[in-house]
This record gives sequence, structure tokens and C-alpha cells, in this order.
Amino acid sequence: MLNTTNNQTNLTLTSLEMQQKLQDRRVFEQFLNKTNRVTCDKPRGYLVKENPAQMFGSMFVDIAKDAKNLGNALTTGKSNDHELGRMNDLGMKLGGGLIAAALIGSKATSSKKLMEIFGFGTFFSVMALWPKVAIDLPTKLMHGFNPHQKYVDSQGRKKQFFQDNQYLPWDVWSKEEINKVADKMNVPKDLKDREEFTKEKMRTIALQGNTLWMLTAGLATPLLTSLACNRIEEAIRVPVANHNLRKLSTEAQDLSGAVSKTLGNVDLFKAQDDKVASVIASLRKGVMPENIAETLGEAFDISRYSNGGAIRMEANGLKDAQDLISRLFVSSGSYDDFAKALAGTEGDDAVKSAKELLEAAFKSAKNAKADDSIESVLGFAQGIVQSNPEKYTGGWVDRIFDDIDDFPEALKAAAKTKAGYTDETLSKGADAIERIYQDSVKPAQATMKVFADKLKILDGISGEKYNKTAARMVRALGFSDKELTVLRNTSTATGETLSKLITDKIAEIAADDAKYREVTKKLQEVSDSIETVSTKNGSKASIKGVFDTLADKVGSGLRALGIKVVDESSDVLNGSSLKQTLEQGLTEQERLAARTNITSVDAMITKLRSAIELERKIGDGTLIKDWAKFAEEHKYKGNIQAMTKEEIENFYNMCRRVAWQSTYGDAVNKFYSDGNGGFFRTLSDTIFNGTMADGEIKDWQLRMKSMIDGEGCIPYPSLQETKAQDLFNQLRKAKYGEDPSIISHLTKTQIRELEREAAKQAGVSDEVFRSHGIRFADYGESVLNTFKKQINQMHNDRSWMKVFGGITVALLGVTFISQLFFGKVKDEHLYERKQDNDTFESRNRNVNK
Amino acid sequence: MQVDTAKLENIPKNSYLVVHKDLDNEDHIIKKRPTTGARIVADKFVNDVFSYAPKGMTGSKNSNFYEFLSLGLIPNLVGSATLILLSNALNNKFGGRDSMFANMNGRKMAAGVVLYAAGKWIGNKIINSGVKATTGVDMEMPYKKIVHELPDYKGDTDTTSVEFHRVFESVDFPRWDLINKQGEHNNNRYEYYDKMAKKMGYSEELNASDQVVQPKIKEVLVKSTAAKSISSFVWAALGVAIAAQKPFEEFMNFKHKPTFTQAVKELPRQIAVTMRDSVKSLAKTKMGKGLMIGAAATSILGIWNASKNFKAPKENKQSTVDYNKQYMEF
Repeated sequence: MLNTTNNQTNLTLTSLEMQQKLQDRRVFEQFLNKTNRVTCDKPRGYLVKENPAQMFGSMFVDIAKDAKNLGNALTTGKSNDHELGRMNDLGMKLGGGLIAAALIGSKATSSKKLMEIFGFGTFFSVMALWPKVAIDLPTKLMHGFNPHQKYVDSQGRKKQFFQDNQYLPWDVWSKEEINKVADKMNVPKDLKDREEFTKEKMRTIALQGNTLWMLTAGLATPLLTSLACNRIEEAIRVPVANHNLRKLSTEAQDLSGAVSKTLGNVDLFKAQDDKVASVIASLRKGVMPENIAETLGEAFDISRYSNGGAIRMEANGLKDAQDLISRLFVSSGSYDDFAKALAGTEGDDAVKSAKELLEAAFKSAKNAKADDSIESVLGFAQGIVQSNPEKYTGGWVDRIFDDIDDFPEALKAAAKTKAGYTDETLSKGADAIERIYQDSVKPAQATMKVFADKLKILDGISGEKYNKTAARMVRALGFSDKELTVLRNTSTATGETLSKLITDKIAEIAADDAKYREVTKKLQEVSDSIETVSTKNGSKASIKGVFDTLADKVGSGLRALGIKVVDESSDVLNGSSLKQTLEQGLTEQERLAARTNITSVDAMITKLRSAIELERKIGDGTLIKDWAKFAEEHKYKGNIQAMTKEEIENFYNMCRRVAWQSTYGDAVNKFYSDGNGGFFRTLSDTIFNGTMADGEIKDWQLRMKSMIDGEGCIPYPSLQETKAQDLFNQLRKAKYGEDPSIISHLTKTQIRELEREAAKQAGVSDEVFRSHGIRFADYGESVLNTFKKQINQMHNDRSWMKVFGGITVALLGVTFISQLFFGKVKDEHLYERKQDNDTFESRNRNVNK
Repeated sequence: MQVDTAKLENIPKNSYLVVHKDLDNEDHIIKKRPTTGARIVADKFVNDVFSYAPKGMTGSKNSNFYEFLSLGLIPNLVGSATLILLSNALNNKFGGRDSMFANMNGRKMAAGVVLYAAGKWIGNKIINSGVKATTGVDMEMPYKKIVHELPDYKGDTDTTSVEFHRVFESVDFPRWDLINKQGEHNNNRYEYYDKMAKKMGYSEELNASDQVVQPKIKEVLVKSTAAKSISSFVWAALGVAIAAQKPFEEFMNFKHKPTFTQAVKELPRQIAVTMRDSVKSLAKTKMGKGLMIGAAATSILGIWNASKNFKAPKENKQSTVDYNKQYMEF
């Protein structure tokens, strides 16, 4: 020990120097003995071996760690590249969540909202799963190792082993593990550097895998995400709609909370509140506001919050406001009588002119805060006439100033009070307007708003279910894929070909009893499964049921409001649409129209079923018999027995058009506008009466029939007792008598003429006659249209799937197949084989020993 | 490059400048121009396709981590294109109304993808430039790295490749050496640190400015990188939310196809109007407001947090290095 340096001691030193040197050496020895050697720590890295459950668990652990590191980095400013890199992933997850949350707000239905979350989740899952399934799994199966193998380094940082192709800390792998991989890869056992060769092979494969991952991920992630999301959306649609229906059925039981919440919405009512307040303030000040009816009209419109016509009401705000004003301020008014007495002999125009002058003068007197006696007003009138002598001409002009004393005192006294509106009248009017607005109109508006909001939700539910139904309906008829393709290709060409193909299909079903029963059963199943859901407490909820509950609650809510006004004005608004609406709740027609819209799901199925029924009736000859029966009943002179075969076929086609190929509303409009009302009546009964006993179909027929019973003018039960309908009947009787064979053959023009006249006399808009005809034409869809749309949709879905599903399959194929060629080491031929005596033991013998 | 030999006396003997006169053969900081970022991305993309991907697929030894990271550009670009194609490519085949509706969703999706990327870019940019303005630390300072590769085959002469990195891309190992080297060109190895020290508020020139500045820069790097990892994604989410607004839906679905000149003339104004309307309509929702405030707040707080500790202590603005202490040489 220490011999080498020791030997070089210079012997020529003095003893003192020797002693010093010795001392130095002692110190040095001491230093050497007492100082710890600096050595490397033993590496503590290891490969991470986790099962899927552990992996899932450590995902959350890692997120928590990242969040902690993030906080640490932000506060202390101390971190490292590894941690900072992981924080980026954390931010990506956070951003994804924010996107989902932001998009949820912009979608209408909740299955769309849910899809935002699913979409986001699926995107990230696919992104994570793609390399695992498409690259890691094949590599593991073929080569026995995972190219995304993780390891924990000596500093405790979890990393991917093969991440950096030029930094592979192989010491975390044991010899046994490498040899196991080598065995799997069929590396020759007699290779001299078997482990080194295997490592090189592993490096190559992992690098190739990583590159392949980068090349394929961009295609695979969006493709697989959208394929998966398509499936998921299909799967969640109906459950979500059912959930919403259940929720809505509970909410529909009590709307009072929702109504008062809506009433509390200051922003919603602000504009109209302000308008009403300005009118009231002006009245209280003793001034009759200009355009008072128009100003109030908007605020008095009960249906104004019914959201884009989810429900259209007959209430007319402007008319109501006009009614209210003319009745509230009826005792006050103008110089009518005075003007008449003054200028009556000179004709209406002179009276009008005199009245105008007196009112203008009164206004001036009021403005000048002068006395409002007739004498004082006439004084102002004189001034007006003098300033504009050409405007006021005629004998009466001179008379008013000269003969003032000759007018009876009673008239003069009356003129004073009628000279406008007394302050008392105005103030009473203000009270009435305020009360009607606050107690009746506004709560009614809030109720309608709640109704419309709920209907919107119900409509969404119905829509979701409809989408699902339409496809199942087409399927239930038993169209094959091939037939669908034919249908799709013809559907864009002509509707006629399409309707022929569908008619043939329906006729085929109708002709075969077994098929007929099967299809009817299937359609019933579709109808049942879609229409009704079970609620938590075991009862059933249906779209129709929920609608009816809602309509009942809204109706009774409106009725409960009534119109409360001050004492003597209690009959104010009598007969107005506002009062009528509040007393009736919702009219049958309004309910029916809204319901027809909402419950299109079952209407669709019903229509299809009646189409099949019609074909059966054609098939067994019942249709002809029914026609004869109803023609007799309606005294319609159509003798079908005399028809040729061709004519009969045309007749059948006409029945088909009415029954399902077009909408019923279209048919009604067409026949009546052609003046064929009587014929249509017979035809309709022939089609819809008779063999069909099903309650649903009956209900539907009733809706259709109710339009015919109005003889083309479209019935309006709620108004039947009202003036308009009565007047209509009276007018018709006066003009055309009561013979049904005549009045059921009136042309549309003749009817419109009567309607307009009746409406004019009743003082209402002639829209009351018209609206429902338009409504029924709007709503409902012909079976033909549904098929067209549905077939197109199915075709589009399939062609989308064909293209992108195809690309996905191709991508998977390329990814898998290319991996078969991975792992070829370039210098393989340079690796030497072991000699016979070159064993593992001999090679690892320590040659230094 | 020309070296002023008169100044050489002042330069330490082991200076880079003395050893390597031609910078083009060595790593060096490159001057940043407005187009530099775009040029680097273009370089990466071209190399991805023609060099990095083929190298990776053949398992080349020379494939390195930089190349792997650069390859990340491919899934981003291809993924965005696929997302757009998925909802647009087949729409014209659908015909009629279906085609219109499919286009509506497709274009919206496309707008979402574009604005996601734009949002993320803006989020990063704001913090980068905010931090640069407040502290002077340019996190995007680019440098050119010359990589010497192993020959692929016997007699392979093409053994160098060029990579573009950022001087401060690693907080563990910022390329101080390049900063020093750049300083030496200007005859002062500590040029950058002196400048930074001044920016920090040290009035007098420090004896070892690098010792003072380097840890501070590291702190700024860590804090702003951490802030960017949150802020940029909030901005991206904001971008998607804007694209989801009604005005954008309308903008993306013009009824008549405009002619080219019309498009060129009208488009910038249209985009500006649409953006403004979309932002307005987004601001009406709670979530939208939240996102806007969140994006602005994460950016501002991020910049504030990164730069708040950067200034020199007020009392003692002189070097804190103790010259009486001795260093032990090993």
C-alpha cells in the first residue's frame, strides 16, 4: 500500500524536512482513511409490470401527481422536463372537458348533449387504445415484448422505455427477460451475442412501431371515434328520450312552480311591462296616450311567448286591447252629439269635420290649462278656424259661434263631460288595465311560456323516437337491402315509381294473411315500445299522456285566472278572445293541432296501418261495397258498378293518395278547391269507415273527419257557439238554403265569401275559419315522404359506413400486415455463431482471475 | 465568419470561437424573423415525410427523440384533415336536403378544428410574448443543431442532419453554451446575462451575472411552461366554443357559392364580422363568459406569476456571489 509514492522520498532531506514530510503523510493517510469513497448509487430503476386494473388505477394516481406537480411548478418555479411534459397531457384533458362542457350548452336535446361527453371520452379513449390494440398487441404476440413498455428510472420518474431510440437504459431488463424475448423471436441459441442481438432487434421493432403509430394515429383516431360514436348515439337516443319523458311526466303534474318562476323572470317581461307602465302612467296624468291600443296590443298577446308556434292560439292581443279600450272608455268619448246637432243637416262629412274641430279645440284648452266648459272650448275653436279658414267651411262654422246661446243647456252640459275623458274615467281605466294585465294577462303568458317550453321538450322526445321508429317501420315491412337500394335510386327520379314499389309491397303484405298478421304485430310492437315507458312508481308514461296532462294543467291554469276588473267594468272584455281563452283554457282545436304535431310517431304508424287496411279492403272487394253504401247515404250519384276496370283502378289509386300517399290535409284542400266536397265526403267515409275497429285508427279518423264535417270551411268547435259560426250558418242558409246536397257542394270560393262576410259581421278576423285547414296541411307527413326520407337516410348511413368503415378496415390491415416485416436487423450476418466449446459459462468466466 | 483578432486576447483560451471558427458546422442560435417559426414547421413536415418516417420505419440507429417528436406533426395534420373529411367528403353524394344538413355539420366541424388549433396557438403566443415583454426571456429563441450521425452503410458521407430546437426547450439543460458562444462573437461571453441582469434591475454590472440570471430564467421557464399547459387548452376550448356559435354556422353555410374574386374581397370582412358576432353570442351564455374570462385570466395570471419573482431584490442590487468563498477543485 502506498508503496509507489513512498519510494520516491528524497533521501537528501534534512531531518526536519523529513519530519515535516512524515507529518504531511500522516495527515494524508488520515484523510484517506477517514474519507468515504465517492461511488455511484446502485441503479434503482425497474420495469413497470401492471395488469389492466392497476393501469387504470395508476392513471388516476398519475393525474393527481401531475396536478400536484403543476401546483408546485407554478408556485415555486421548480420542476423538470419530465414533469412539465406530463402537465401538457393534463392540460389536454382539461381542455377536452371544457370543450364538452361548452358544446353541451349549444345543443337542444339531451342525447346530443350526452354525445358531446361521449364523443370527447371516445376520442381520448381511441387515442389511447389505438397504439395498444393495433401496435402493442401484435408486437407482444409476435415478438414477446411491449414496445410501450414503461419503466421507472432511479429518480422515480415513470417513462416509456423505447421512447428515445438513442437512450435505452437496458440495465432495467434482466438477462432472463431478454432471453425470454429472444426465445419468442426465435433468435438462434448459438448466437455469440444473443442478448445484444435481441436488444437490437427490440430497439428496431419498437422504433418501427412508434413510427407506424405516428403515421396511423391521425387517421385511426377520428375514424374509430366517429364509427364508435355513431353506434353510441344510436344506442343512447331512445333511453335518453325515455328518461326525459319520465322526468317530464312528473313535472307535468304540477306546473305552478314553473309558472311562478317564469313570472319572476324580469328580463322576459321587461319590454311589455314598460309599455303597460307608460300607458298607465300617462292615464293617471290625465292624458290619453296616442296609439294606446297598439301599445297595449303587443303586451296583451297571450301567445307571444309560445315559442315560435309550438302552440298557436287564437287570442289576438291587438283585438283584445282594442276591445278593452273601447269598453273601458265607453262613457267618455267625443263631441259626437254636439257635432251632430250642429252640422247634422249638412251631411256626415260636416259632422266629422265639426267633431274634429271641437276635439282639437278641447285639446288646446286642456294644454293651455283653460276652463273646459263648452264656451271656453268654442273660444279655442274660433282661434283654430281663424288660423286655417280654408279647412273648416260650411254653414255650421258660422253657426257654432253665433248660435251658442240657442243650443239646449242639456247638450251644453253633456258636451262638457264628453269633451274627452274625465280624469276619473282615465284613472279607472288605468286601474282596470293594470289589474287585467297583472292578474290575468301576464300569468296567462307565463303559463303559455311554460307550456311551450315543455312542448318543445316533448317535441324533442317525439323527434328522437320518430327517427328510431321510421327506420323500424320501414324494416317492419320487410324491405331487403337490395330493395332499399332500388327504392333509393328511384326515389330521386320520380315519386310515382317509388309509390308504385311501396304500394306493391303493401299490397303483397295485405294479400297474405300470415304476412299481414306478422307485419301488424310488428308495427304494434314498434308503436308500443316507442310510445310508452314505465316510470319509477310502476305507472306508464306516454307522449300522448304527458301531452294531455300538460294541456289539462295549462287549460285549468288559464281558466283559474279569469278576468278580474273593478266593479262596474266587470263586463268589460265580454266576448273578447282574451276572455274566451281564459274561460276555455285551451280550445279543442288548439290542443288537437299541438298534439298532432307532437304525437307524429303514432300517427305515422297508424297511417301505415291504414294503408295496409286499405289494400286489404281493395283485395277482398269491401272497398267497392263500402263506396256503394256511403254513396247511398250521402245521396252521391256515383255508380261504381258501371265503371270500367281502368276507372276502378284509378279510383283505387285515388283512395291510396288520400289514405297515405299524400297528407290528408292536402287531399281535403284539393277536393274542396276543385268543388268536389260531396265526392270527397263519400270517398273519405269509404276509406276510413268499415272494417277498422282499432281505437287508435278511430281516433285518427276522427281528426280527419272533423275537417270534412266543417264542409271544407274547417270546423272550429270552440267557435261554433260564437257569433262567427252562427253568422256563417245564417248567411249560408239565407243564400243557399238547407239542402245538404246543395250546401255540401259549395265551392271553396263560395265558402270563403260566406266566411269573410260572417267574420266581418262578427267583428273578428276571417282567419278563424281558415287557420285549421292550414294547420292540418302543415302537420303530418305522408307515408310516401317518410319512406323517401328514411330510405335516403339509410342509404346515406350505409354509404358513409361503406367508405369510412372500409378505410378503417384497410388501415387496420395495413397496420397489422406491415408489422410482419418489422425487426429485420441490418447487420444480422455479422453476429458470430458460438464455437462448440463456447458455452454460456465459459464466456462469462472472469478472465482476470 | 471574420474574427477580429485584436479582440482575441480578451477571450478565454478554451473559447468556442478559437476552436470552431465556422459556426455553420456547429450548433448556433439563429436569428428570429417573423417567418422563422413557419419555416421550421415546414422543415419538420418535409423531413417527417421524406426523412424521419422512412428512417423510423426502417429502424435506423440514427432515429432520435427529436425526430419522434417531429413526427407528432403528422397525426395532428392528418387527424385534422380526417375530421374534416369525415363530415364533408361524402356530403355531395347524399343529395338534396340531407346533403345540406350534412354540410352544415361538416363545415362546423371544420371550423371547430381550425379554431381549436388557432386557440391553442394564441394561448401559447400570449404567454410567450407576455413573458418576453415583462422579463426579456424569449422562450422561442431558436437554434440550429448539427447532428452527426452514424454512417448508414460503408462509405456513407451524408452523416450530418440539421435540427431546429429552442434554446430554452429544456429546463433541465438550457443551452447556456450557445448563449455564451453568441456573446463571444460580440466579445463578451456574459453579454446576454448582463443584459438580463439589467432587465432584472441590477444597476451595476455584476461580477458573475450568469450565476444570478440562470436560476431566475429557469424559474421563469418552469412557471410559464406550466401556465401554458393549462392556458393554451382553455384558449383551444374557447376556439371550439366560438366555432359552435350560430353566426359561424351561418357563415360556413353560404347559400350561393361565391366567385373567387368575391371570396377574396369579402372573406376577411366576413370573417371579422362572424368572429365578432360569434363572440357576442357566446358571451351571452354562462359557459361562454366563463371560458372567455378563464382564457384571459389564465394568460394574465400565467404571465404575472412567471415574471413576479424575476426582479432583483430591492435592497441589495449587487451581486450576491461571495468572492471570499473558495471552490474545491476535484
